[in-house]
Amino acid sequence: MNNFQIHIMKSKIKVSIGKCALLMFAILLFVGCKGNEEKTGIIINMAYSVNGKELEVEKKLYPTKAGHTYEVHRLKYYLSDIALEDEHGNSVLLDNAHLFDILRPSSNTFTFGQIPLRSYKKLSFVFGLDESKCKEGGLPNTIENNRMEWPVPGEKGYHYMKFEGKYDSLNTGVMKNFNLHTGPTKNNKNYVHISLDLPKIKAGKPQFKITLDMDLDKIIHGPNNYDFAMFGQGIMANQKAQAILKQNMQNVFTIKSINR
Amino acid sequence: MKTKSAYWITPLISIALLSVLLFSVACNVSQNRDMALSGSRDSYVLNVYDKFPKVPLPDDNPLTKPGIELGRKLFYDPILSGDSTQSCSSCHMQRFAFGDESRFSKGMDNINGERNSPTIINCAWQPKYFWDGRAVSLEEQAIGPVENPIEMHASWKNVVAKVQRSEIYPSLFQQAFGTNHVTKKLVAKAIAQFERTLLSMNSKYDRVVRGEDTFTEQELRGLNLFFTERADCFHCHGNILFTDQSFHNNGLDKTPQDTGLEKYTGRKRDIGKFKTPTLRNLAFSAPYMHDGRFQTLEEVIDFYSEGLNNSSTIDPLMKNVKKGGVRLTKKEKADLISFLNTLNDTSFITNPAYSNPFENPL
Ligand code: HEC
Ligand code: HEC
Repeated sequence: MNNFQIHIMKSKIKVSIGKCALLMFAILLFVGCKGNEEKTGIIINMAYSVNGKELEVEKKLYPTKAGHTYEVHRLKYYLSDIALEDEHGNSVLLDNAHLFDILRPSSNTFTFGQIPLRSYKKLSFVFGLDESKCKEGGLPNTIENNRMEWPVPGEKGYHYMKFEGKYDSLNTGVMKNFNLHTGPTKNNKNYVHISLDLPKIKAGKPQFKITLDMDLDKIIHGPNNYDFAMFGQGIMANQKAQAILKQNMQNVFTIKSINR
Repeated sequence: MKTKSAYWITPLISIALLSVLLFSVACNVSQNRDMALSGSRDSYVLNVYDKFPKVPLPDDNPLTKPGIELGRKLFYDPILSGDSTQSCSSCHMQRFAFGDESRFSKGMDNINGERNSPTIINCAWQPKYFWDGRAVSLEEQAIGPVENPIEMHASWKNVVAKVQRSEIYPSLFQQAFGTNHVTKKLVAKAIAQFERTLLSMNSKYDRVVRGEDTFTEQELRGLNLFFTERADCFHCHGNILFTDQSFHNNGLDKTPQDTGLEKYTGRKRDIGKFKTPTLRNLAFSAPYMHDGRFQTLEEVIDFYSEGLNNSSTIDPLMKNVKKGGVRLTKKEKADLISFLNTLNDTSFITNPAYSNPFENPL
């Protein structure tokens, strides 16, 4: 081997040593970062109520201010961009979109891996789906998502919510159906940004559990009175009805409890 | 010649190499174990286009070519019935989209059941089987008909013994499941594998979705009725499968004779609820509804338009029950039917892979 070759070999080795060192450093940094901040599991749990009492499906008739009584049969809806905000304003995304279904208990509790063990001041989410998700193929192609499709020609996307049941019309004993289906009616942005304050306490280990409450009565009363009889049973094309429900959705969710 | 630092690189490289080696050995071992468990077999992949969700397959019954072929034979073989006259295909005929043209299929002893044989189309995605959903897997479903007195009226013990004695089957079980010991479970598994391959996704509707064809004006008008709240079919028969796979009382009767889901759950609120059937291949699958009460699509549309019966368990989604239905005009009815006819898939009822293997060996 002549000198020249040796020189080249040396420099190659140097380069790889340099690369190696860099890589090792990166790994150390990565591991170090991970090790630096403690993590904890997070569980979001949804409870359902009507006027502060636990929801009873297809059993109980609840009063409305419009003078009817109603019973709940089915309720499915999406919350999306579910995120926690820490006390410094950094946001931690928990889930892109989650489909809740009162008849499928497993859908009402979801865990999302590990989050940094910090103090959080806000839980925020979108009721429904924004344009990036509310389009054809905007959500993963699962049977559950497909059943939520909003296939109206020219609109597309998914229902935000299907709230279905029956009501005793003006308490006359005449039962009628109601179907509060909300979504991107005529491509309106009917989804709702919701932000709930959390007490700024540090998340606990090994699990930080936030239980939300969804008060179904607020869907039709808070603050606008929604009269089933006024809007008829199919409201997918009725932006006026959608707008009322959109306003009400702001007040439907509250923090029920926090288990650190 | 080697520099000092080069020495610590060598072990690093060796460790890397070693782990790659170890990893591949480990992989091979687990692969071999799978092969040993299941006998040698070629696995089979269901090809669906991207609008269809991923096919949910059970872990304990993967699709294999020999498994499907065995299932196909068993599906068409009267050996599964008490007097060897009835096969699954006696009531589930390919030319009727694996349903039956007679209102109530006759079983082995010429006894009529009280329900119309449902079609078997894209059942791989279905979570529940029978009109009342009482079976939760195809494997479980396939066990039922053999001993049902109004279907094949046999005993599994005798059937298994017959299959075991036959000339062809033990070796087919060997190929499919790595054992020539015939059991009721393996019979059901093989049949379920065949049923999962019964895919229909070549209707005009599918071609339009794939951009290979276009709707006529009339079909488009029908589509607009179907997928909006005007005719409002999609809430139950929407999505690419044309069924929500749930249970509803769609208003056929005021007081249903056959109480449907209630028979199985015992809950009053389930009276008159039946599983939503797919609307694919309706041209081949008459008569319609769980009891085959309607002979034509016109009758079905008339029913949804003005023939609904109210009852305490009618589904909330039957929004216009107070008016008798969605009240379509004559023209709208014709448009809707023309759309429904785009869901027919002739390739499904002529596909040789689904046909009787004793008449059409592939
Ligand atoms: C005598 C006629 C008859 C025979 C023979 C028969 N079936 Fe059926 N099958 C029916 C009827 C009727 C139903 C609906 C019964 C119900 O829902 O209560 C049914 C339901 C089914 C279903 C459920 C479909 C769905 O979408 O829910 C499947 C799958 C099926 N049969 C497969 C088979 C297989 C496999 C065999 C042979 C082992 C078989 N059938 C034999 C009449 C028959
Ligand atoms: C509330 C849900 C619901 C809605 C809305 C609905 N269906 Fe159905 N459909 C069902 C159910 C459930 C059955 C089975 C009922 C039975 O057999 O008892 C059915 C059966 C059918 C059948 C018979 C299929 C077969 O293989 O026997 C056809 C055809 C049909 N529906 C077409 C339509 C059309 C067209 C519309 C819109 C005008 C519509 N459906 C709206 C739930 C619904």
